[in-house]
This record gives sequence, structure tokens and C-alpha cells, in this order.
Amino acid sequence: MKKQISLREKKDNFAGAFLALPITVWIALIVFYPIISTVYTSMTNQKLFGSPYDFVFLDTYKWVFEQSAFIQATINSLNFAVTSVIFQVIFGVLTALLLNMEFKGRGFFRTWIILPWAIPYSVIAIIFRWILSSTFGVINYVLTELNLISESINFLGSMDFAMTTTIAVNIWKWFPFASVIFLAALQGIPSDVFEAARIDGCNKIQEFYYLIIPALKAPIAVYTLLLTFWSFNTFGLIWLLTAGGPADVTTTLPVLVYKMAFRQFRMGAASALSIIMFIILMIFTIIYRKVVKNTNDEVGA
Amino acid sequence: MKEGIGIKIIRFVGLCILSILIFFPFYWILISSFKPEYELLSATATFFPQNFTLSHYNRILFESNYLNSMKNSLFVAGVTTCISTVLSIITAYSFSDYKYKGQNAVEQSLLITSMFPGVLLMIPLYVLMAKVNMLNSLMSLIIVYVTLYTPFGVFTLITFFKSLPISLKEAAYIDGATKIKVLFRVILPLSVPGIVTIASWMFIQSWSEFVFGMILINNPAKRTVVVALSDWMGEYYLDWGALTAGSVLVILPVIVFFAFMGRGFIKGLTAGAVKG
Repeated sequence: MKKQISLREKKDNFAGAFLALPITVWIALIVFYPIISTVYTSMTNQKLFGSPYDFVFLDTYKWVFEQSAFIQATINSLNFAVTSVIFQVIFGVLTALLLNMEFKGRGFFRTWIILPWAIPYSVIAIIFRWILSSTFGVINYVLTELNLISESINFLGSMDFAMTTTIAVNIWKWFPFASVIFLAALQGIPSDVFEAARIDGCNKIQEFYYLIIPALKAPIAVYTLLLTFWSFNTFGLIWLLTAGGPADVTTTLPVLVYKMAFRQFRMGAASALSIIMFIILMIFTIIYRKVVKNTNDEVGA
Repeated sequence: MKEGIGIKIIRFVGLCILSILIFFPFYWILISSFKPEYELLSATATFFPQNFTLSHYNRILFESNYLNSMKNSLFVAGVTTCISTVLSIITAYSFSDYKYKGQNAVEQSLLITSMFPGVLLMIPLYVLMAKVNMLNSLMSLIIVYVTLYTPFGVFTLITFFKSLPISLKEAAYIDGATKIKVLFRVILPLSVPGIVTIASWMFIQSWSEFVFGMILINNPAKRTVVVALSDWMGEYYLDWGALTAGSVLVILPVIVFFAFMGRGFIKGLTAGAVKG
């Protein structure tokens, strides 16, 4: 049966497309066009922006891959992202479980713990540089007073501690966000389900296994991907805490892109690195989707 | 089933640890901003300020371009929020209540934009703004922020609009209303919570945004307050009084916001989120 579209529907459809036009044009100009131009630049050897360049196809990519800085930055990125996310999720779940309980003042915590997430990176950097300062910081002061250490730890300035400290700050910023999401999932379990379980003689451990874990499976799966994405792409936090140092130990791929473009003035290489990052993320997303889909299928979620 | 004392203790300890972890840093910069220089730099840390001073606030408010940067931030965040909210509403409406060719393509574009790492756009957007001579202009930030934050608004509002009862819209149509009239008379009034959530999110994000603020604007007079703060961190890195005072002032709007809207905001944020 041929579908007949009335004139009114045709007008409607046009109106709908018209409404979506502004954002489409906006995105085409601000996102798609620049990306295409970056792909083009990545195939040149342009150094300073605006300076003359040659089209060298994939030579710039080869150059980037050969840099030890690239390999180091990739390792740092993976380290940073994976470690951050593992603890963001663990602490997120623990906090969600804690705040799911009934107690006085619950509302206060539920509203305010997300504060770290809402605070700008530059403020977080100031806060932690001040608190962790090796000369004036309160953490070093407390640790020394309690005789746990004999001399100040240079949290952000020493090669041994810088990465761990940066990861810790990253965890601090995001685990409350994760906990708010997970808490919402836990709140979504209807209370009569708990009642029924109790009547059936469930103890706390069984309750945990059969009620709580299934409720958290989906949000954990989704948000682990998002959190990893976000951590992998983090530039501001790291740049402000350590500027990628000392001696490049905290230089992750995003930081390297920035350094290449705005410190070393190699636009071609920075563009190529950006595209490489994009491909890595695409691959990761595809693999992740496959893994998560399999798990969901097993559980029958 | 009453709670055992064991659980109560675990919970109490847990909450203490959580409180210290989350709130202590804020408490610390708050009191630091009021401590005079010599107390800040003294060898012993004080957990309550021994002396109180407003000199740091005085300095940054009246002897630097901090207020100017705040104005820049307010302008950028305000305009971004307005434009982005309007765009989100009409785009979400086009998804929830219309069908047209290319709808899928638009949805995919929005998805890609939201997932696209900001870092990768660092270079392209710098180049783009340089080409059209818009570096160092606040408009360049507004344009970028609207692009970055609208997708979130669109997706959130789509869920919202779709959840509104169809019967209300049908009733309006029967009364002869056009789709646009329905938007204004029926949908918008009912979607106020959702709109407030996305507008708040957009304001907070554009207030806090750092990377593009740093890259696209070099002129100190035009920088937003978060970037200005980080500049001082480099220049006046021992002036902790000014830095902490500056930080407190930057966070203030966020804190005030949460005091009034926090609950609703969290609700709105998680409403669509849990369904994945």
C-alpha cells in the first residue's frame, strides 16, 4: 500500500528539518570542517602556523611514530586513564552504597558530594598545589608531625610521585560524579523488591549479590567507557598540575599534542598526533562495545 | 530488621572519611584566603586562622584585572547558555515531534560531537579561529562552547519531551494549534525542570572551561577568570593568599547555585543517565 503523505505532513517535515538546521550548520562549520582541515594538515610538514609547508602524505605520521616521546606519552595516557577509571568506579560504587543507606543528613551528602566535579580545573590545580606543596603544604606538615615521613614529599615535582599524584587528583574530581550516577541506579531498585527478599529470608550478602550487582551492571558498563574516554582526553588537569613534567613523566598524549603545536611549533605533527589519538579512541570504543555486549548477552540484561 | 551497631560504625567512619576527602580541600582554601601572609608561609599549619585579613581579597579585586576577567567569564557563560538552551530546545523538539529526512544523520552528528574529545579540536579550532581573525575575541569562545555543550542539552531534552503525555499535545492539536504553538503553550511550561537542568549544566561548564579559553585568547584583558587564575599561578606562584582568594571567588557562584538548585540539578542529571 503506497503511503500517502498529506500536504500538512510534508509541511510538518519541512518545519522539523528547519528546526534542526541551525545546529547542523553550526556543527558542520565548527566541528566537521576543522577536523577535515586537521586531517589535511596532518599530511603536511607545517611547522609554525601560517608558514609555508609541503604536502608530504604520511611522512609526518612516520615521524611521529618514531618519536620516543610518542611511545612514552601513549604509555602515560594508558596508565593515567586505566588507573584513574578503576578507582573512580570502585570509590564511586562504595560511596553510592554508603549513601544509599538511610541516615540523617543523607540529603546533604547526596547534593554536595558532587562538588569536585563542578569546580573548574584551574581552581582544583591551585587547591592541590597548595595542599600538596612540599614547602608550605598542609599534607606534608601533617605527615611530618605524625612522624610518618622524615622529610617533605614533593608530590607534584618529583619524578616518582608526580604521576601517582596527578592520577589521585583525577580520581578525586570524578569519583563523586560516578557515585551520583550509581546511587541513582541503586535508588531505582523498588523497595518492595527488598521487602520480598527479606521475607524470603535473604541475608545481606545474598541481597548484595542478587539485587545490587545486577542494578549496577549497566551503569558501570556505560560509565566506565565514558570515564575512560574523559580521562584519556584530559588535558587541563595535567597541564595545570605539572605541565607534563617533571621530565615528561606526566606528559600524556593530549599534553603532547599541545606541546607539539604551541611549544615546538610543529602543526603538522600535532595534527597527525590528534588523528592518531582519534583512531585509538575509535578502536577502543569498538572493542569496548563488543565486550560489554557480550557480558550483557550472558546475563540476559 | 534493625541495624546492628557494626553497620552504624562502618557508616559513620565511611562518612567521616568521605567528608574529609571531599570537603577538606575547600575548607582549607577558604581559611587560607583569610590568613595573612606570614601565617600562610609559617612552618606550622593552623587549622583555624589565628589572624584574619581581607587584604588578599582587596588586592585581587581592586589591584588587578580579576574583576575584568570575571566580567568576561560572565559574559561568555551567559551568552553561551542562552544560545545553547534555545538551540537545544528547538533541535530536541525537531526530534521528539517531527519526522524528516536526514534526521538520523543529524542525530549521528550530535553524537559524534558529544563524544569527540575536546583535545582533538584544540588544533582545528585554533586554526579556524586564526583564519577568520577571531582569535582573542570572546565570541570565538561562545561559538566553541555552544558547539560543545548543545548536544548534551539536545539529548536530555529529547528524553524529556518524549516523556510528556501525548494526550496533552493531541488536545492542543484538536483545538487547532500549530506545532509551534504547542511547543510554547504545552511543552515548554512542562519542561521547565529539564530546561533548568541543562541551562545550569551549560553555565557551569562554560564558566569552568579552561583549555579553549587558554588557547583561543591570549590578551590578558580578554581572558576568562579561570584562565586568568592559572596565569597567576605561573607568575605569582608564591602569592598563595591571592590565589586562594581568587579561587574562592570563582567557586562562589557554583556553591551558591548548588545551595539553591543542587537537589533538582542532581535529579535532572541522573534522570536520563541511568537508563543509559
